[in-house]
Amino acid sequence: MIFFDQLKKNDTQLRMLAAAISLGLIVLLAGLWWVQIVNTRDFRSSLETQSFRTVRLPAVRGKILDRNGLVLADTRATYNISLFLEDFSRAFQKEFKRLRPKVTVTNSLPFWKNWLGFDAVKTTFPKLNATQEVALKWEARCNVVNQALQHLGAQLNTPLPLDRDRFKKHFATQTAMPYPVLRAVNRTQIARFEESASGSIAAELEIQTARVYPFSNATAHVLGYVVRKNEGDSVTNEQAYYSYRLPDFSGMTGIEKKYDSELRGAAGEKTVVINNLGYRQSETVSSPAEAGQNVVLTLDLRIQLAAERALRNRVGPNARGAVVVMDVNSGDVLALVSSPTIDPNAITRGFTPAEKQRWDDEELGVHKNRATGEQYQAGSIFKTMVALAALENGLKANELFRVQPNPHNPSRGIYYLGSTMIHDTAPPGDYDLRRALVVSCNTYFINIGLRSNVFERVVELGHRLHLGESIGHFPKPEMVRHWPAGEKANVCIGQGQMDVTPMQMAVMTAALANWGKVLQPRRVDRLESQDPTGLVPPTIFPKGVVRDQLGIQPKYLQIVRDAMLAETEDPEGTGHRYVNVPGLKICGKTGTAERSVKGVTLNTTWFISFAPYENPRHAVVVMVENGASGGKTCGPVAADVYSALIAPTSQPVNATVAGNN
Amino acid sequence: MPGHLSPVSAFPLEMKVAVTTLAFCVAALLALGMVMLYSSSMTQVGPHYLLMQLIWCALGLAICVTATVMDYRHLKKIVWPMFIVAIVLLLLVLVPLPHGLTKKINGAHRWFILPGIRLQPSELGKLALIFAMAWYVDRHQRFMHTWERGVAVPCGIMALIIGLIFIEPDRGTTILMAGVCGAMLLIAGVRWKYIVPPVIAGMLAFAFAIWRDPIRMRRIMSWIEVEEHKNGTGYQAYQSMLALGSGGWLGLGLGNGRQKLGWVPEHHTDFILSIIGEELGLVTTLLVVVAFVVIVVCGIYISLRAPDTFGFSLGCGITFLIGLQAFINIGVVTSALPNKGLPLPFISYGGSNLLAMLACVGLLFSIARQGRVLQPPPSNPFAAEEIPQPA
Repeated sequence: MIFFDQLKKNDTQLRMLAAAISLGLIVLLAGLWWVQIVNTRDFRSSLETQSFRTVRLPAVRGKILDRNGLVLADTRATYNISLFLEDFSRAFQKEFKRLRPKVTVTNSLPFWKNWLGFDAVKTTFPKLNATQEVALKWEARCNVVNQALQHLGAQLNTPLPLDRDRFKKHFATQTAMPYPVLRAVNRTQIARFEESASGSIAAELEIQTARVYPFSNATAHVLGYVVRKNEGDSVTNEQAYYSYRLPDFSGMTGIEKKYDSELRGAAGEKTVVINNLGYRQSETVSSPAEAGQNVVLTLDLRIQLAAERALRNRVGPNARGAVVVMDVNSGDVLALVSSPTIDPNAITRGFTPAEKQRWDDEELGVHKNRATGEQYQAGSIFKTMVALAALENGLKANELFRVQPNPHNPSRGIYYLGSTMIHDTAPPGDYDLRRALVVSCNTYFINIGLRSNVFERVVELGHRLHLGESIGHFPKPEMVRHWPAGEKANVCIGQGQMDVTPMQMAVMTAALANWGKVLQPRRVDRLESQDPTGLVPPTIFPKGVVRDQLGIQPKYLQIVRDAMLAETEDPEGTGHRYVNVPGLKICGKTGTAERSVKGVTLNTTWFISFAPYENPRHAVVVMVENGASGGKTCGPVAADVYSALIAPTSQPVNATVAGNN
Repeated sequence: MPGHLSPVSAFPLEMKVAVTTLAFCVAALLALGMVMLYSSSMTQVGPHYLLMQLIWCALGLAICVTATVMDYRHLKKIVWPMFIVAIVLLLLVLVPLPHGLTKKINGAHRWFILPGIRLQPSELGKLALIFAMAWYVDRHQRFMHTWERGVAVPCGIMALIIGLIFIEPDRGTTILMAGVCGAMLLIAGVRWKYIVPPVIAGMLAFAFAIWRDPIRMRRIMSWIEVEEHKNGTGYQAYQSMLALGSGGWLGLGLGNGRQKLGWVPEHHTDFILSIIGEELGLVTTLLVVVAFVVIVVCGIYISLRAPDTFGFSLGCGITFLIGLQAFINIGVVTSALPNKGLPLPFISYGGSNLLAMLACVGLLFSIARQGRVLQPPPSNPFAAEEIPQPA
């Protein structure tokens, strides 16, 4: 080419120039290569950290169902109205410019400037320092959002005040996320919004899940409750990974807590592209959330409701007590009631002042699960174990024991243990085992419990029942070797150094009913996937897991069972008047443990039972704090539960207790 | 054309190829510019910039066609009036005019603010200076090897315009014009020993000015250590590298860039190449570089065939202007050079610059139309006497 021929000539200038151009070209090519190829990976990852935000999408929480498939805890959609902050950024700037302090000066101009058309009026904007500017910007943003809220509020016919602090917090930390302005929107508001507001303002309806308990109070303690939590799961260390998290439910107590991770499912993730001001530009869901599993309980809602109603009707609306109904063969828990409660829906929705007061009331203790989480003195119901231990150690059932009358109160018995007197509520006279159980004679049981090796066997039985293991107190075999007789005597009548829960007593009662098997209580039947294809097999928990055997011969168990039947059938029995279900033979034992707290005697009243006598199926344990006596307070409750248990099951469950709209 | 210095019997094929290639490259860059302008501005301002640029482009093409049709030698008559107008406008832009006609934007007096548009008088100044230099070289070509007429006087002419641009301040254009004028003088035959001292003096003065100016000094420092200054003065350069770098070979795809969301300031003007790199990758950025190289080669090819020294000098000046401006811009975007405010010719958004650049291309076409066949002097004086033997 002629162009290059020119360079061959001896034109130094042109050559130098050509060399300079070539050098420049090489620099450019090298620069492009360096940036676009060599460092591309670093730059790409820096770009991603800079302009992508990951948002955690909570999964739909699994349901909790009763054994018949009735929904006890459900996840429903609620709607929030949220503002898109990115659409306001221009309005923010405009408002800021409007708010900026202005100084308008009118100068007197020399004539020639007038001729030239200089403007005499001059507007200047004084410079703001950093703090003033930041404050003014907040002011501008708040004004704009407030105006938008007023506009929206007028259309929805709902006043929408701006919570400045909440807005500032949201704006400062989650600019890329929509700002929720109205939570739990009702149907009218949704209609109004869709009709008028949705197009005219940068807002949208956001679906959020809410946890709903249709049977509110009746299932409160067994299900537990959830709260919306923003913190990450410390186990998986999610916090470090996500830029934003949408609030997730976290189980706080009960089944909700125990099976929290199963119910929760796997969170999904979406990626939001943001611009340099942090506003949202676009978003994509990179992995959808995986719904949590359903938890199917062994609970029978019909029995649960009956038990709850029985406690409420027989004892009172704020009865402090618990009812446990257990299948004596499988260990299935059919009802687990603790009272009083607070509506778990109220916890998710927020308390009214009255509910708050109730929540804070220490004496009511609405947050206590009295069936499994609180420990009580067992009282006379534990005498069944002492009886079994003594029989196994050679006590003859018909062996008589004479109870001395109390010198101060001749109608009641007394027991002298060394120099200590132990008062008895039973009258003086001759007692065999059956009568002693029926009348619940303290003196008799202290006497047989202190015989050689009997107490050791009692401790052994408690051990086999796993008392005092995860909760409660029970003496250990090596501890009792050097115990004074007084301590032993107390334990023989279910007081002193032992505390139990109603659930533990239900296991004990079931063991009496099923010839000595100590069952693992079973509250959850299976975990089911919410996957609609049904291809994922459910996780089924085994039935009737035997943890231990009481190691008592059936003939001795039969003696105690006969005595327990007499307790409800014998005219002299402590439960005779109160536990009377036609067509059902109930074996029972009452108990009243006295406890002195700050000089006031508080009774813990008990009634343990199983039925039918011929072929036991259910164990029912009722405990009421501060009741009158085991038979009088707890007996009728148990009777009501038995009525429900033998009632035909076709009766539909009344589901109107729902505490939500 | 009879009467001209070296009449051309027919428009030679090679010239046709050069002109067609030049036109093709310019058109391709313009088209790419439009597409990228829309891609980079649609998310924030919509089609406004694109419409404005289309209007400017139409105007520029009209000027380009006019310049092509016209004989460039008529320019000689208006060189000095144009020079004076440019100086007056450059002076006016420095003083505060009534009705907010001039305004300090980003700390510089560079623009006349008219309703809807902003005009940069320095673009006119660039052209006026190149014309004046070409005129001067043509007029005094026999004395270009002397000190007074070869260096002193041209430097005086240059100083008038470049000085005014310098105090606007517009460092980028200053360097650009100094480079272009220097190259023009060099080609015109100024001796090395005369041109080196003023270049060194100019560089020292420039270095001193930067040394005294903390803002520019910081810019230089941030260029040297981009990573340390990525949140401060080096922000733009760093973000531009992020954009280019994340593009890789083939880019993220047209419209998929993230950096145009506001991360790269001036992404539709000076830094548009970074968005091109992000969305279309190294392949396209290399093509852009190649297109500018081809434009420079074609420009020099045309200039060398200019019928007179004025045309030769003018063509070279224009070609250097386009080439050097592109070089500086690409250098800045890739952080090979410190940050300057220069647009990428034909691609960046900006009316004044587009007009000036298209006018330049028109002048090159005009020179090509008057072009003569270059007769290479025979290396062998007897070669011409050889009689070709028929095969």
